[in-house]
Amino acid sequence: MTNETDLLIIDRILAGDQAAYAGLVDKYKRYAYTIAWKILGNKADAEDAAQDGFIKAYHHLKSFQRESKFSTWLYRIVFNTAISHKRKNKHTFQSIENTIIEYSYEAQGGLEKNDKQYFVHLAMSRLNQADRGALSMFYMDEFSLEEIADITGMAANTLKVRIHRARLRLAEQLKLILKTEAITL
Amino acid sequence: MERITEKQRNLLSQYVDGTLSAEERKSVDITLQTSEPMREHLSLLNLIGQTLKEKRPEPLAKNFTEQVMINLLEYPISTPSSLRNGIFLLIGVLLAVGVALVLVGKGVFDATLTSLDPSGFEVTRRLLKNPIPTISLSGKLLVNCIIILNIALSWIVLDRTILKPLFQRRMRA
Repeated sequence: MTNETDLLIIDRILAGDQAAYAGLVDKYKRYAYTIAWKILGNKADAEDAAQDGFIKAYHHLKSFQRESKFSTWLYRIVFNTAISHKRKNKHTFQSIENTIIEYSYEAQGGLEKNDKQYFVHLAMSRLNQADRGALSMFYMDEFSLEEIADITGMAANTLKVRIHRARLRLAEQLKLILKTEAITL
Repeated sequence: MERITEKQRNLLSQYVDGTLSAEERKSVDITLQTSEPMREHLSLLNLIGQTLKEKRPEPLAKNFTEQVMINLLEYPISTPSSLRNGIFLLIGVLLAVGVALVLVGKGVFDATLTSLDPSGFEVTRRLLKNPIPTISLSGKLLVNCIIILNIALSWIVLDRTILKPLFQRRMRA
């Protein structure tokens, strides 16, 4: 039913009612931003990527195949836009990412639980971009595995294997970090 | 020290995802009671899941929708076929220029001379008292003018339908 409503709005936009697009932006901005944030890790870049994603989707509305849900199609565009933003900002992003981790660690310092959370984020930063993106979206609890597969452009089985392996790698990294920390202490 | 196998790791992943059957789950529960490395791995998986679920972004800017709509106005919608049409039009114009140049080069229009006598028209004879001199036109000159106009047109087509959208797209990418 939601997709049917979206399709009606799309028809209006294609007929020249540009303002109708605001309804779609309002409806999907939160998840679009969250997807971009999961990949980029900071508010400013995530907002930029989500905005660009919405603009690209608008310009390609004519090419939208109505067999799939509009939301899935839009999230895929946002996902790809965020990945390309990430590639562009690769060098500067690394320092931003570390800053965020440092900040949350320092701000919440002292508590054992928060120490462990910090180590999880540290271990995550050691994973490759694709693994990190897949894992983050998997734990968002907002999308099914099939939807994540559609958004990331992977086959569902490939994604399943990727998430499984990424989680194992993350656990291994975390174990190493925790061991090192235990020795240091 | 005891290490867990790949199979046990897979089982634990499925255990935390809740995708095991009741029987398999029971079997993992029993193994967990006796295996310290498995318990350790399970606690890591739980910690990962809990941390990543808790990781939420900062709130989105309140004027996000307005910003998107403002940016949309800056980049008006373009039809996906315009680039293709532009290329076809450009090819057509260049083809016409090419044919005309070949014909001019071969001297096809050299002998084509015509004159335009405005006094021959009934209307001009009635309106004007003094006769207008006859204008002589060379076919070659006329075709050369058309070629120049076509080259100018091809530049405009190239700019508007190919280069401009291309650069706009690259700027937005």
